[in-house]
Amino acid sequence: MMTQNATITEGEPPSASGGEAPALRVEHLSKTYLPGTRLRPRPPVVAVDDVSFALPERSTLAIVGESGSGKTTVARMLMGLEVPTSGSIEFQGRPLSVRTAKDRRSHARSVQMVFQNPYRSLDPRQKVGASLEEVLTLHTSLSASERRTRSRELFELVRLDARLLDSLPSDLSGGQRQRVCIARALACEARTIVFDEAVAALDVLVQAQVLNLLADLQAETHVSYLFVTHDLAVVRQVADDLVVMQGGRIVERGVVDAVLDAPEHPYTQRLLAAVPREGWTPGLQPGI
Amino acid sequence: MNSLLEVTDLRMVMPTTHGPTELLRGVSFTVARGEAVGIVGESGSGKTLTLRSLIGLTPRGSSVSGQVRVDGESVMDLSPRRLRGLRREQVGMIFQDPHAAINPVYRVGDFLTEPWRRSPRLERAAATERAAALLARVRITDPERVLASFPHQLSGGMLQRVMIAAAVMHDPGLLLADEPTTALDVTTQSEVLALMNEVRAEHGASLILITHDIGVVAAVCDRILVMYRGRVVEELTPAQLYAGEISEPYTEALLSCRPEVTRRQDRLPVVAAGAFDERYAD
Amino acid sequence: MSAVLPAGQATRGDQASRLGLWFFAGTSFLLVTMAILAPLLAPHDPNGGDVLQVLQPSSAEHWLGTDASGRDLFSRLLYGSRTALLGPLVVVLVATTAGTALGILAAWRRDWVDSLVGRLFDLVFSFPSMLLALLFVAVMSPGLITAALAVSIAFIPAIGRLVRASALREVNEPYVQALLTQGFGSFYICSRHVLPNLWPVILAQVTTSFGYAMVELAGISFLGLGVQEPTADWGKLIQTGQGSIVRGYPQESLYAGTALVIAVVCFISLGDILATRKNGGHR
Repeated sequence: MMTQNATITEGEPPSASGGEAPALRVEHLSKTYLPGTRLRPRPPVVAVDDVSFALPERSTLAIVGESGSGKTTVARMLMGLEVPTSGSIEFQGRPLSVRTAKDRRSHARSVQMVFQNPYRSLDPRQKVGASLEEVLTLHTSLSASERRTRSRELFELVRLDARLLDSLPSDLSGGQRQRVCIARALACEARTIVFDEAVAALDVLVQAQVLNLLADLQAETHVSYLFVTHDLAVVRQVADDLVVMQGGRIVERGVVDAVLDAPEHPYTQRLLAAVPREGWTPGLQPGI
Repeated sequence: MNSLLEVTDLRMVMPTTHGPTELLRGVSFTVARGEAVGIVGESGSGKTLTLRSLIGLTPRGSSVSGQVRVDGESVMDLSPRRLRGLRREQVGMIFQDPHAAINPVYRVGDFLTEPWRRSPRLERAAATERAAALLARVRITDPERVLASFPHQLSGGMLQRVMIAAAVMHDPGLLLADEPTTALDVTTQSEVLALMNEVRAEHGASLILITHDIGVVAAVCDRILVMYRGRVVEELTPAQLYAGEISEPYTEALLSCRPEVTRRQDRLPVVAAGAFDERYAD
Repeated sequence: MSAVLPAGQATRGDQASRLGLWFFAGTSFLLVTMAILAPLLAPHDPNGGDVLQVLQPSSAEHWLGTDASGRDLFSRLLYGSRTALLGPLVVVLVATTAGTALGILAAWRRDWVDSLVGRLFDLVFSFPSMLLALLFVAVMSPGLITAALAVSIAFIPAIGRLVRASALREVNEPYVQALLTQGFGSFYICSRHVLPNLWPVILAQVTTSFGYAMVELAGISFLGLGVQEPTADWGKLIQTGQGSIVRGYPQESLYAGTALVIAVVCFISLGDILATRKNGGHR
């Protein structure tokens, strides 16, 4: 069922140094939905089935799969937006808990998420600077002027002009908004950032800038990234390791270059074959 | 000439609060019968506006000039009645988000049989039969189930096939596809593109395909138009594109800024916003 | 140069809407000003009758004539606008606050609280506000506040359902999910982010409700369950004027009725325009 490619074993990061806990460790994570009502239940849907992986410090892991693979459900469970049916999630060795408001705040300081749609993941009525300062108010004890300064620094970090702090999201382009979202994710100095198809909606030139920026930030700030995506070209460019999900299960895992150069699982092969490139012609895939 | 579509110096100006904005700045191109032409460009390049102008769908308040001829007829001078006829019979349209393009309260069967039940008064059973045949053309193996489904019960890929079926219903001479696969998974994208090729080949229809993915266009189209800020800046074939016979730096940037699935680049090339404004200014 | 779609129509429609907005907003403002400045504007004491001057036609002394007790109708009409506006104000404040809070709560929770609130709305919705007013008067004493409370409760479901529907769309927006992942609490997100984004919808509904509340309250006054003598109120004026109609003096009911119609049309239209503009602005 599972193809072991290269060196990764379950939950054991290849590049983890010594006994240091990885930024994120997920073990035997499952999610089953019970659709219908209590009176009229419908058969349960298994969205995520026994998923385990680890994200070492300062590295990038990609979860690759198509719609219905369960990759977004995994991301939502990591963010505390969904409750796992079973399994464990640990950030820097501490189990995830979002029971109380205090838990949720401390969880937010260990992991942040950048959403798919940059056009709608900012409050349309709030100036982008205010949305940064709001996060700083919640997570730090900085004074108002210090928050302003820090917002400027964050904008500098994501290569945005500080003059844009007073703009509304609608005044910014998609790429600029996505960089605001990244700045917001960096604001509380989370060790891990989850990107849920976060570069898919961007134009290529902007996407290139954002991908470069993320690489630079990782070099500067020791942050770890988890990319949830279906775009294998982006995976090749940014990720160190990848797991391939199909129907809620991990079907292949390994170091990116190894898996993409020689995919072993037929599903991975099919995904790879469907990527447009020189000499590629679209084909009706067998077995669908 | 044997061109199906001729666009000459298409211009569009939109009044905004900051004064009139030129959205299209003289777009000209032709599409021959049976030819597939791809338009690539970033958001705001005017590719969607161009496509919609071809069937007389222009934004409210805009003023448009230039010529659009489909089959020798000037689209801008058509009566509303003829324009509807053109949209219904001569041109098929495929949109980015099929879930948004079909009325969610009707079943797929109602959606596909509606035009027939209205115009030549076909019996319901006969209409349904034709709809099923249509779905078979887009290789849907269980048309009965699909016809009885509501749009939300179908996957994006399946619904996009339904949209393609609807678009080729009247065997149009021209298919317009606006980012038809952007919302789809890669494997589904491959299928939908293959299907579009297939139904197009059956009747020798022309295709205009809009996408931001230059790789998709290069795989499907005979010719590529690159648009930037409301004008076509370069026109080339996929072979020229991959052979590096590119004359415009913007096209070069579109190609090189794309991450590649076959190799990791140390850094992606960076092109500053507005780097091409000067080159492509009036 | 040939425009593909006639651009004029759209612009003309927008202009009409803008014109209507200013017209109705202006009239509403005028009405409110008149109500506030009634003591300064009224030429006579609204409650001071003169038995020698009953049922007078319009004159230089009494612009709109007098009623059956010899009170100046113009002054009573002016003072009547105060209760006519105060009542709906109370209704709108109470109903909007409660309806908005319940609507957002239901949309946010989406569990049994949502069902419970929904059932409650259904229950209240099935009572006509007139019946609620009768019930209230049976328990409390008749008066403006009793009537306004009854109408407020009757209005909660309409506002609550609208807010719930709009809030539901809002809480599913990625920005709300983003705020959750940043560790913000539910109350904070609802009050600082969801509510401000609902304001345009709520404002339109408030203005329309204001007009409808005015009609309801006038009806309740007309039945004698609302404002009590001698306080002037348009609904009350229509009722007390009834007796004079058969004696050939329709002025009192006529003027009060006209004032009511103008005010109600004004607020409801204003609400409609605001709602349409809100919808037009977003797809």
